Amino acid sequence: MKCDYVNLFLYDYVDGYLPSAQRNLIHNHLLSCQQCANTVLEQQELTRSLQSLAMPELPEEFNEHALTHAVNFHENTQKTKYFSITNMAIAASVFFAATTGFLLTQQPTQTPLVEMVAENKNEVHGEHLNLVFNSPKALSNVTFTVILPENVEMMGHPGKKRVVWSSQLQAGQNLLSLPIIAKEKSTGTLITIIDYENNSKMFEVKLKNKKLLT
Amino acid sequence: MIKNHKNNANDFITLMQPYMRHINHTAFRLTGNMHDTEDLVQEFLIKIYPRKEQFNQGQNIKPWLTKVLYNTYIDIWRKQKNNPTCKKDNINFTGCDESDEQFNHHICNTLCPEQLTALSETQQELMQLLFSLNNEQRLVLVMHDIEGYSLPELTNIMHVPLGTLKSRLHRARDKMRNLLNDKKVSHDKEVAEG
Repeated sequence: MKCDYVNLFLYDYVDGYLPSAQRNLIHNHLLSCQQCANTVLEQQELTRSLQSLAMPELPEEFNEHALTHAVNFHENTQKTKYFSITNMAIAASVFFAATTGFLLTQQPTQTPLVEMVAENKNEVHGEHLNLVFNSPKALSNVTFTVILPENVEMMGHPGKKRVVWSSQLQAGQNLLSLPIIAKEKSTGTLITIIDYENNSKMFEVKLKNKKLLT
Repeated sequence: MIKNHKNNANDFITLMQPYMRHINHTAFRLTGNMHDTEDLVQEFLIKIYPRKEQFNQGQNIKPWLTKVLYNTYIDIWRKQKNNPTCKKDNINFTGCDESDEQFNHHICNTLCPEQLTALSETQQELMQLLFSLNNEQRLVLVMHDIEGYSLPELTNIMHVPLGTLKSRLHRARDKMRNLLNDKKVSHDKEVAEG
């Protein structure tokens, strides 16, 4: 048996994936071929070394803190239901309601939760547009496309009107928090397109400037 | 409401505690540094909490937890890759080998000096070689050779066909062995030259 042929199966031999007949053939070749036997030994040594790589431990309190935070994250979300999730956002919305700013109209059948808060400034920094999508089942390989209206940008994507990324949806509610920057008094429609399993769904969120309407 | 919250928290903590060591270790193998490990584990726990009812007593849920952890890692990684301000935006996820510049960028951002110095010299070299692989190759090597998942198990965890996984694993091993041999040759040469 030639080494070139044996080489095709050496890793499968090491991993134990070969049927017994083929395994015996390789085994017999290794008994008479030092070069192939060395390859097997090198690989076994490499695997041993990788498995013995030092594994640092996280701080003792990390687990409890992380577990508690995960519980609080969801329990607090449930309590506030379809409202904004952060204190900052609530505070900003109070400010917004008291003066002017951006008013968001929803497409109720497609976007169960949509809320936007913004300060009454010509340029709004660091606010989030929260969208919640209900998914009947967990979906992997979901592509999100957000198309922004005029004078609205997403943080980290200056000048871009279209932002695309891949993620997944879990069964039930999924919060999509978009860090948007609204420049000047903006109006228009923010479009979110979700592509999954050969399906495509489009959600529209209308952003209107309260002052312009009155 | 408060009592409910407390019960939920206790149930979840009790349920997850036995798996946290495994989760933390796997997360570290995936990310290569403690800071990203903490972020990944936190994100994973937030993701897993609503699905805690799926935990069946007596059933081995480790592979399922690993799958969710892996998917969470990929999500984070892709977000970072797509974000131009992110530290890992130059890493290639499509399977091509990275240039030296990209490789160095990756090493610098993934392995912090404090963690490297905590390892022996041999382990430092090995860790650097591991992170010199492209992400696809490194992940399959970590999950198969270090974490001990079989290729059929990994097709389910990583959503990649068996043949593709196998060729990535073999290329990763070839590359690691070649790099180690090159290092050995150059080390022997240095010793011979005095």
